[in-house]
Amino acid sequence: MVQFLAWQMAGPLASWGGIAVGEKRFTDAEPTRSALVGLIAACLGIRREDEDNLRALSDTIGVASAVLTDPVTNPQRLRHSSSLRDYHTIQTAPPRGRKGQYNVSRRDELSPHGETILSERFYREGGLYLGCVWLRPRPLVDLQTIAAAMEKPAFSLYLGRRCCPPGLPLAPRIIDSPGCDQAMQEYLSDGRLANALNGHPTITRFSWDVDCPGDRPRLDQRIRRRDLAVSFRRRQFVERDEGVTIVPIKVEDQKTGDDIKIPTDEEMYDAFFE
Amino acid sequence: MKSRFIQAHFLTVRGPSNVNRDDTGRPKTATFGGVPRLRISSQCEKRALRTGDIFKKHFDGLLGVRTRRMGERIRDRLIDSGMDSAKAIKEAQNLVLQFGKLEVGEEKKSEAVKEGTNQNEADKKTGAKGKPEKSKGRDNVLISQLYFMSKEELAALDTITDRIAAGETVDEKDMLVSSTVLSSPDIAMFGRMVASAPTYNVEAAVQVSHAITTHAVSVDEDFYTACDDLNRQGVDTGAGFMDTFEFGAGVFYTYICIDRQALIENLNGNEPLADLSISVLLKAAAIEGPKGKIASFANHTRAGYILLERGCQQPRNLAYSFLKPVTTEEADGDLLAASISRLDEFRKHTDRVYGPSSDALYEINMLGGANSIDGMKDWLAGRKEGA
Repeated sequence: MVQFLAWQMAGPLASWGGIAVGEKRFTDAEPTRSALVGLIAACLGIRREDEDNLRALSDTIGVASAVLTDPVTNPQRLRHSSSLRDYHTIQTAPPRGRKGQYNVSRRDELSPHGETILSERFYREGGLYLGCVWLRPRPLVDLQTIAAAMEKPAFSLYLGRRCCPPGLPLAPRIIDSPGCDQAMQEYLSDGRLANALNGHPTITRFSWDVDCPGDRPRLDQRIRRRDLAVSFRRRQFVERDEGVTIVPIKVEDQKTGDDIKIPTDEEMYDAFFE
Repeated sequence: MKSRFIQAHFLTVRGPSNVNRDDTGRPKTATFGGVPRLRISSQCEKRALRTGDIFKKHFDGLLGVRTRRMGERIRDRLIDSGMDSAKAIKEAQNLVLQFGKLEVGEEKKSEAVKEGTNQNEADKKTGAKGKPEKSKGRDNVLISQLYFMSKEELAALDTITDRIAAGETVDEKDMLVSSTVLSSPDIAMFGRMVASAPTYNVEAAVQVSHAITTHAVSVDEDFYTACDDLNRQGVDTGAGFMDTFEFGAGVFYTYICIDRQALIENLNGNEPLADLSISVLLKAAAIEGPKGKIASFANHTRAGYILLERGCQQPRNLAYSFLKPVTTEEADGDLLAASISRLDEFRKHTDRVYGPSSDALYEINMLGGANSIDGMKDWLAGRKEGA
C-alpha cells in the first residue's frame, strides 16, 4: 500500500497548454504535468520566480491524472471534453523608451496606439479531471501539507489558465492504495462529485509518471510529452515518459438501469460522417 | 477585513447586443452542459473595466501628478526654510536633473504637443497665441518635459529637500527619488507581462472568468441594407449595400476572484489603496460593461444580481449552477429570477457536500432586498453584515 493524494479539477473551461511558440495556443485533452505542479505550487504559495523551490517540488512528487466523462457535464457523451477556440486580440503598448513618455497605467500605455496582435487560444469545455500525487525520496513537503494548502491556498487557483477558475472545491483526500489508478477510482467512489453535479462521472483515461509506485496501471500507450518544466520562469520544458491507460466505460441510466453506451472516438467519427 | 479571497458572482441581463465578437463578427460562444451559450471573454471584460470611466475617475487622481514644475516646489520649500533664494534655485536645479533636462530658452510648441497633452495645455505652456513662455534663463527651475510624479515620489522629494534645507550635503545617489515599481492599481490587479524585461512583470491579483449565459442561446442574425441617397426614383432600384450581422441576448453569469493579499503586495504594501481598488473594481464590474457594437445596440446594462463572498477557503466559481441550462419553464419565464435561485441552490448544495467555501456573504438583488453597491464597501471592511 502506498500513500497518494487525490483531488478533483472541475470547471466550465480548462486549458492544458502544450508546446506553443506563436500566437496559436493549443491545449491537450488531458492535464499536463506542469499545470498540476503549478497548481500545487500556487496552493503552497511558491512564487513563479522561486525557481529552486519549484524545481524541488517538481522533482520530488510523482504526478498522475485522470480524465472523466459525465453525461450531465457533457451530454454528447464524448469520452472527454470538447474543444473551444477563442479569438483573442491584444493591443500592445508602443515600444518603451519613447521620449518623454512615462506610462503609469495600462490606460496610459494604450492611448497612443501600438500594434494589435491576433491570437487563437484553445480551451477544453465540459471537462472533468482528477489529479494524483505521491512522494519521491527527500520530498520538499509532505502530502498532508499539500492537502491542507489545497483547502486554504496561498494564491488563487486555475485550471491551466488564469481565466479558468475551478467550479468546485479541489476536495483533496489522502488515500492508501495499491496503485495510483486505484487511488483515483477510490477517490471517485465516495460519490461527492456525482452528488455535486447530479451526474455519473466516470474515468475514461489515466495518465501517469512511469515511475509510479505500487501496482503499475495497465500500460496501453507510452507517450513522450514535453511538459516537464525545468524553468517555470523561462518557460523551458523537457520531455518525459507518460504511461496511458484507456478505460472502457459503462454508465448506468439511473431510471431504467440499462447501460448507457459511451461511444468511442471512432464511433463518434463514423456517426458524424454517416 | 482579514479574508484572503473576495469572490464576486454577477448575473447580468444583456438585451440584444454583440459586445464581444470573434474574427467572423459573430458573438463568442461556448458549449456548456451540452448546449451553446453566449460568451464574453475574460480579456474583453477586463479591458472594459480598465478603460472605463469608473477606473479613470477613481484611479487617475490617486496616482499622482504630471508636472514640469517640481523645481518650483523644491525652490519654494527651501526659501521657506530660510535658504537664500539664489542658493535655493541652484539646489532646485540640481535636484530636478533626475527628472529631465532643464528647460533652456524658448519652448517649441510642437514639443509640447508631442508629449500627449491636449491642445489647451499646450497653448497654456507656450502662451495663448503661440508665443513661447519666457523662461527666466539662469533662474529657471522648470524641466522641459512632463514627468509623472507619484505621491510616494513627491513625499520622498520633500524629505530630501528638507535634508538639504537643514544644511546636509546629500549624496548624488541618495537624491534619486523615482521608485522602480510603480503602484498602479490596474496593473496590480490585472498583471503585466513584458517579454523583453521580465523584471517589470506583475502577477495578477484578480482573476476574471469568461462570462457565459445561464441558458441556451442561438445566435440571431439581422439582415440589413444601406440605401444610396442619390438613387433616382423609378430608375435606380435595389440597395446600395446588403449584409447580415449577428447578435444575441441573455442572462450572463460572470465570476471575479480577488486575492487581496497578492493585491496588497503588488501595491507595495498599500492596504488602503488595495481596499479602495477592490471596491472600485466591484463597482465598475457591476455598472460598466464592454462596449462592443454599442452604437448599434445601446445596450448599457448593469448587473441584476451580485453575490459577494469572503474567506480563506479555496475559491470556486458557481458556473455549475447553470450546467443544466435554465429554461423558460422555470420561474414562469423569468430567466433572471430563475438564475438567481439556481445560483443560491447550487451554492448551498456544494456547501453541504464539501463544507463552506466562504465565511460571509453579501447579496445585492435588483429584484428586491435592502443591500446596495454603496453598502458593499462597509461589508468588505467588515463593518456590516450581509443579507
